[in-house]
Amino acid sequence: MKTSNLSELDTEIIKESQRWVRENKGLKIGSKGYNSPRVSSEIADCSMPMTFDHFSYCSLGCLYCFAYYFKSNNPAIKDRSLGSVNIDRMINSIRGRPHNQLERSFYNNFYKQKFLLHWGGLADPFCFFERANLVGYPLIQALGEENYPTLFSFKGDAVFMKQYRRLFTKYSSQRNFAFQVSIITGDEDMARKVEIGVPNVSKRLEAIKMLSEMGYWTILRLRPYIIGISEDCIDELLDRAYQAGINGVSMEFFALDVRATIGMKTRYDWLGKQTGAKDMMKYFSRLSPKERGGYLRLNRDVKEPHVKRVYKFCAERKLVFACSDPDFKELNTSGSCCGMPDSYPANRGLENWTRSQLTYHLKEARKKYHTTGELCLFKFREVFADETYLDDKLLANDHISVIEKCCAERMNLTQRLILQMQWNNLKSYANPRNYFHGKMMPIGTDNEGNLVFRYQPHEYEERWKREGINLKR
Amino acid sequence: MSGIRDFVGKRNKGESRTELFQKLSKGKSKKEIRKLESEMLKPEHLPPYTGQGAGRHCDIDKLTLKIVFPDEESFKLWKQHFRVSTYIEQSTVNIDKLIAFLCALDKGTIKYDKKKKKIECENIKSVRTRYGDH
Repeated sequence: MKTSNLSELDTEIIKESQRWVRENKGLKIGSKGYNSPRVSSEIADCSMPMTFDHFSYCSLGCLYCFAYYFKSNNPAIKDRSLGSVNIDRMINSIRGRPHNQLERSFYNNFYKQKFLLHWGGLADPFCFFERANLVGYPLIQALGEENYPTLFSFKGDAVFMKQYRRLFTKYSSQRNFAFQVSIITGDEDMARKVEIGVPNVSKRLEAIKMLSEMGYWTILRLRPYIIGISEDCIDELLDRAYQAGINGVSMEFFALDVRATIGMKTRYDWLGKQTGAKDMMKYFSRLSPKERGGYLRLNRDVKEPHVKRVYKFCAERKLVFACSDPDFKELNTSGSCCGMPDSYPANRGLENWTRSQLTYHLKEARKKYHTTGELCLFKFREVFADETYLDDKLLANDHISVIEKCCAERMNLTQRLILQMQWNNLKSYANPRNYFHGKMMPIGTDNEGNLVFRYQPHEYEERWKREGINLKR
Repeated sequence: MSGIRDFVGKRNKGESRTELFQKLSKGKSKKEIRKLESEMLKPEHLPPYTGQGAGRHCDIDKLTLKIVFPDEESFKLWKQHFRVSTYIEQSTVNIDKLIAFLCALDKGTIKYDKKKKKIECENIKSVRTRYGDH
């Protein structure tokens, strides 16, 4: 669809986003009180649960932005003044000089072991804010000096600024940095409409090329994959990313939150028009498993052809295939669904993500099934093993599930207890049976009274195998 | 595990519904494909689990106790010594003082006389517990 065909609705949505981007360009930070890092609520299947953003929000205007959906639904986020973390304090914490108890917790559980830092969870490390403020620069420099393993997820073009080029060149020999560049379509025209203010596809591929040529681990972040949009020009996009030097592809499908504000609904309508869905909400509602609750994710049969294409592409070129979606999670060829390597001799720090999570265990179960025919069992104590951050009471307070808890429970909860609550409650949307929609099925309990799950092969696995697709990777 | 049509065995004349969908959707417009998906690819319901359930959802249940005070006066006394939060429901957050008291009782530094309903202290000496000296 060309821009000239846009209806009044299109114009309104796009104008809103354009205004957002315009207002954000050159914006200076208002305070240094933004709290980050935090431990991700997706800890059950996340390999890098320490997630970090140095700005309180993002300057870009992507119409699918899940952070926009979450933040516009969150009454706590009323203040739109731009905040940043206190970078000096962050650097001190990493270097073993924490300022308060929470920082001490992050130091003891993560920094001290040089646990991989994921920078760019809800905002963009290299968007217009970084151009105008250069707040992140000293931190990146410190991370370089400390040889601290860090994964950047971004779309913005501040990475091309001279000082950043110099900085990343300087530390390229130690390979402690890795980069995920988000691109959701190879169609420049569509990208321009959907990702307002974001550098065009070619520019983002250029960023991959630049960083790959420096020797860094790079990943095409194909997220959110929007069915009806992303498949146009997908082969071309994958080829171009491969030529640019990627080491892997990480994909996840667009999900729709039923608790939509008016602004969100208008965006859904707009996206629906682009994808061919008459009513996006109805389309998602009809095709998403109810067991997962109100954050609607299409079922695996709808996604299968799209996953298959990307999986085959990666298998043929020996790239890491990573899938952050709950469906096809088992197909990850590394235990990190962001696409970080299982093994990286050039800098072992990039392997320093946790295996105590379900992406790793599902991947291992799939491999075992296709190698030996054995159906793996998942036991709570084995899956969520001995990571210290799972038992730290200070690190559970950002988890979304504490909202409904009284003060005494909240203060005594740990990530492990939250995980256990979800693991054992088959009515919970986050229960592994529901979240992975049948990929892990309960078969009984262990000697501690926790549920035991078993790997459940799907029909597609046999079919793909017959077609010669390697599922032992 | 049987019972989920979505899994191994769910086939229609040797073809899965995804294979059939892919055949039927070839050459169709986006609108037609979305319509076809809505018609053909509705999600399966997971079968109910009928096996043994978990004894409890979470180990924090083992550490949780409900206390009902016999009268308002004793509850007021509690509130004088312990902070009661009313967020979501009434709960007490910091019970270090109570634990210290229990430790002292346990160590014999203080004794409770059931008949007199009084605490008695003999040879008060500080007792070190993980909560401090008592």
